[in-house]
Amino acid sequence: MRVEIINEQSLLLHLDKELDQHCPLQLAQLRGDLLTNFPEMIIDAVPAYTTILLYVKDIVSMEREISQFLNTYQLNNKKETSTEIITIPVYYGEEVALDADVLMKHCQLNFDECIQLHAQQVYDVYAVGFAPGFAYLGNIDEQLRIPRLSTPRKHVPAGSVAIAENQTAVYPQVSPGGWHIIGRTAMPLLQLDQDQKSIFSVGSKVQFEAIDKDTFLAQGGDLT
Amino acid sequence: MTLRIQQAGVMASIQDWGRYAYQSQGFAPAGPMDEHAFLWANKLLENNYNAAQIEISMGMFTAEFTQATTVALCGANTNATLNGKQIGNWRSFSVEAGDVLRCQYAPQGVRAYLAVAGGFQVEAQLGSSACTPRQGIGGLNGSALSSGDEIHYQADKCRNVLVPDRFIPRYEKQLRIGYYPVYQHKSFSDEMREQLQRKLYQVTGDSDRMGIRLQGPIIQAPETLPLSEGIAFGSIQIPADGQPIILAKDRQCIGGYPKIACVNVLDMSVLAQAQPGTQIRFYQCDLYEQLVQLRKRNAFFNIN
Repeated sequence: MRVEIINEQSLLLHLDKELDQHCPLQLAQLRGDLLTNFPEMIIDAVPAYTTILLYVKDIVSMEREISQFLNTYQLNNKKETSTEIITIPVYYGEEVALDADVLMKHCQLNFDECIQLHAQQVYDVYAVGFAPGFAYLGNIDEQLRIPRLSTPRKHVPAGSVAIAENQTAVYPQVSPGGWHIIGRTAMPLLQLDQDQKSIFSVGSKVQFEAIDKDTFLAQGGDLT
Repeated sequence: MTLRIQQAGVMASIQDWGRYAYQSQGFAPAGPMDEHAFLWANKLLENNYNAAQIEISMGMFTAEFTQATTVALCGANTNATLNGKQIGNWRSFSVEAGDVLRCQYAPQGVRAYLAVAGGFQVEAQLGSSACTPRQGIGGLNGSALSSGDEIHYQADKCRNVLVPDRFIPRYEKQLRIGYYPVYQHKSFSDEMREQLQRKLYQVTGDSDRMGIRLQGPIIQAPETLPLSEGIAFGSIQIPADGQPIILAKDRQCIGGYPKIACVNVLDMSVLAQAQPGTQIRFYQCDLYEQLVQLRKRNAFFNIN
């Protein structure tokens, strides 16, 4: 592990290891330990995959102190079993699965098989932050892997569940986006009145649950 | 007591110093693109450095004061008038109820800052009133200002003062911008790194609060893309087309394009005022020299 000074206010902490399934929890724990040890000096800490970008008050002293801290720090390699799983109910119907046809053709599967592969797995949050509450979840089944759209959409509907390469995500708000859309959730992913604004953070565990149209509509889902 | 917006122009938004503790949840830090002009506008009124102002891009902004107070205008020269009379820039001045402030298209610079004594009274969201319209957060309703909006302020009288001439930037058409060779800098070829230093780049018209977009000789990115990582203020990102984007206040919090370098914080204020066509030449700057300047600035404006 090492820290790199990026500019007058930011340090980039590198785990300096290959990305693996332990990284999300290791980053989450390291981030928590840094915030506890340097409460007044770290303004924000943005974890993603194998790095944490730290916004700090005094770059020179913080580079020294965090380097020292990392010298004796042990990354946790144990599998965390107690982490709560966030379940996202998803309607995979044709009205909302805008890229179902492209996906079926690319993967040579019928859509029910695609849904099963997508919903059977527990995912880890590797990063948050393309947009507020947008979480990168990995890894999806090999059979579902598909490159990003060659031309991104200007408007992806809020709640869209999408996949690209080895990852899946939910768009919390309407936004542009280049991932293949396979369903939609009515579950709000941002809670601005709570301390934790995004329901996801790096290290969270997530699973999707297929629901039918009536349930989706009853949950406040929008088909337009 | 409100300021009534009659014409908001291309883009006018509420900005305070920014929203700093929520990037890990995906919220852009926001805040003023030109920190230098913003800080002076608050200083002239003896406001806290964080007091909310209106950032006016490209002028074409008209608003009416419903109560007497003192205001300050800094940044881009918009040939501003009060009730049709020129009022100048980089100064504070008194306004009476019914006065109409009008900013024209800016012949020099891009962003003007309108501050009011005590700051505009805008409810904070996630600790800040700074607006990132793309994310629907801050400002009045999460959006940029539009005609008909009313922004509250406290009536307050203070002295009319000027910014000393030596602190007023000239908004040159050719800029030298200092960077740090960080992030994926070493993964770029020697030729590309040298090109960054030797070639001229031009600011393009599709620059915005998310990023300052440049046009010039193509910078070839390394073949392997990095994993997405946190993006610092001033990061120079090289997308697939090889045209650099310098990421600013409304940047996405993480990103996966290679970054060849990062611009120093003070030069980001200079870039915020660069009109399309402005020529940029980059040079590698020294962190410790920049830190001395930045600390001096922060002490002068009482930024803690």
